[in-house]
Amino acid sequence: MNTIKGSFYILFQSYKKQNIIFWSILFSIVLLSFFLDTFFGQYISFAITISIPVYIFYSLMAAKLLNRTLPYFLKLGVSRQQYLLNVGLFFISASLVGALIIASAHKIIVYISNLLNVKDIIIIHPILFFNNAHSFLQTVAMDTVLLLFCLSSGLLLNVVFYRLGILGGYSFIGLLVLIPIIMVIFQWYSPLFNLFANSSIFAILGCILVFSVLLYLVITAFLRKISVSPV
Amino acid sequence: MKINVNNVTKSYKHKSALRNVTFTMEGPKIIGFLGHNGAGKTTFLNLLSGLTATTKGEILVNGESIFNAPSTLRDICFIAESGNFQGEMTIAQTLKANRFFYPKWDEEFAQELLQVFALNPKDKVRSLSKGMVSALGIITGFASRASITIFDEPYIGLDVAARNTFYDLLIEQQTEDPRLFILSTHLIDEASKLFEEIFILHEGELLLKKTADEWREHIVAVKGNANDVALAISGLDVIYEHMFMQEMTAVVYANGEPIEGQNITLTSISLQDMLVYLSKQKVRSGK
Repeated sequence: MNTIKGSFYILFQSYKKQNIIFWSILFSIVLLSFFLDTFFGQYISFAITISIPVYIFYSLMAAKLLNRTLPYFLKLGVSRQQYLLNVGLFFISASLVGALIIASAHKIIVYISNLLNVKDIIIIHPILFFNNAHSFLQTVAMDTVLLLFCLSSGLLLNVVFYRLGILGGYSFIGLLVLIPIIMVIFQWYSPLFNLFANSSIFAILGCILVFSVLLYLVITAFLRKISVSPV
Repeated sequence: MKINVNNVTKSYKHKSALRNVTFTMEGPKIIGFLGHNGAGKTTFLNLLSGLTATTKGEILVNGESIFNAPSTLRDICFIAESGNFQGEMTIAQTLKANRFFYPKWDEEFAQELLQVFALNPKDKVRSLSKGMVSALGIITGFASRASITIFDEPYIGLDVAARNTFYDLLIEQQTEDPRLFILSTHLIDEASKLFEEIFILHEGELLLKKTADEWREHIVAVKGNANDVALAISGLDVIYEHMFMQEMTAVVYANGEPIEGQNITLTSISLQDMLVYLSKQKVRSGK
């Protein structure tokens, strides 16, 4: 239990500054949008997205995790399995907190918009693809799963770079870039779009969650004997 | 505490850092773990603290494998040359984090040492000088009270006064709370008096393992006329030979046997000199 508490403490402290900077910039932009809307709202409408920058930020955060924290934890006597367990629990907590902040921010923006009688600010969120009248909990659930997926994917990318070096890492990214190209060539995007549109939000979230867990299991297998020094 | 190193080999892509090393370390004791650059010291210490996996062989602590074994690893505190701490954390946060991982962590002692080394707990690790980071490593090593405490070049950037404080602390700790201290350093002359046992690694192999008392008896420099010296050292392993103004100096493993001969003088060899001789031997052999 002490190890879990300690790991949370270290991970929190290691990413505290980055998080403060990120959220400050994000909310400053939101405030600026309100400010601009007051002056130019009659000419243009504003679209705000909070969730997508958070997905990118979380992916980047996870993509540097191994280099930043693994050597330190191993020197503290933590085994690789313990490290992955603790990081996994931290990911779940971070996703939940991130999702709660996003959903709360949406609520606050809507509240302030109503208060200031601002009608032309649009909040973009992936849930709108499925449901226009979404609840707070639905938004939280979706963001939690998507953030968890972003964290797992970011960590997988970090593992690839850590184990295979820069050449291997960029080759992997190259392979990933090929996927959308192949999708366009074979016109898979259309049935995929239809599949998403016809599926329920919970089915899709369930699939993403399972996929994230599978990704994490792959990462665990790769890190079983990993050394402190990256390639 | 007993460390068994059984046929350990560690290879990297293009080189072999350790080759079939086998030995035993037993504590409580202060062990000097020595060797010139590239001898394999840090590689071994990384293996001993579970940071890397062996290519072949195993390392056991009290009969238990150390790799990915938290119950064994929490008894080991490894202070490496660098990268021991998170740059974003303050000294106070670093010490707080240590509390969670070292079961015998002594917070009171850590606070006392902070004052000894004049560190400000509010300072971020990133803003510290090299010497200050080394001091933080020393504080962590001692306050962890881990049964096996490893210091790999612990005093980079520390001045003479701070290094002496470290030596004093090491002796004090070994008296008050005996543990197995493993100290790897290049400042051998300064630290040699502290060592109770000496391990010398050379080109990935264990060259020598001797207690401080055995050292004086086993490693001897024989000086004199070339023929007399050659006669006296025949049959012994020669570490290094050197001729200067008709006088020959040969450093040999005496293995406790008496060296007799006419017109020769026998002198003991310091650890520092021994490592210099080993390095010269390496250069001569073209390795």
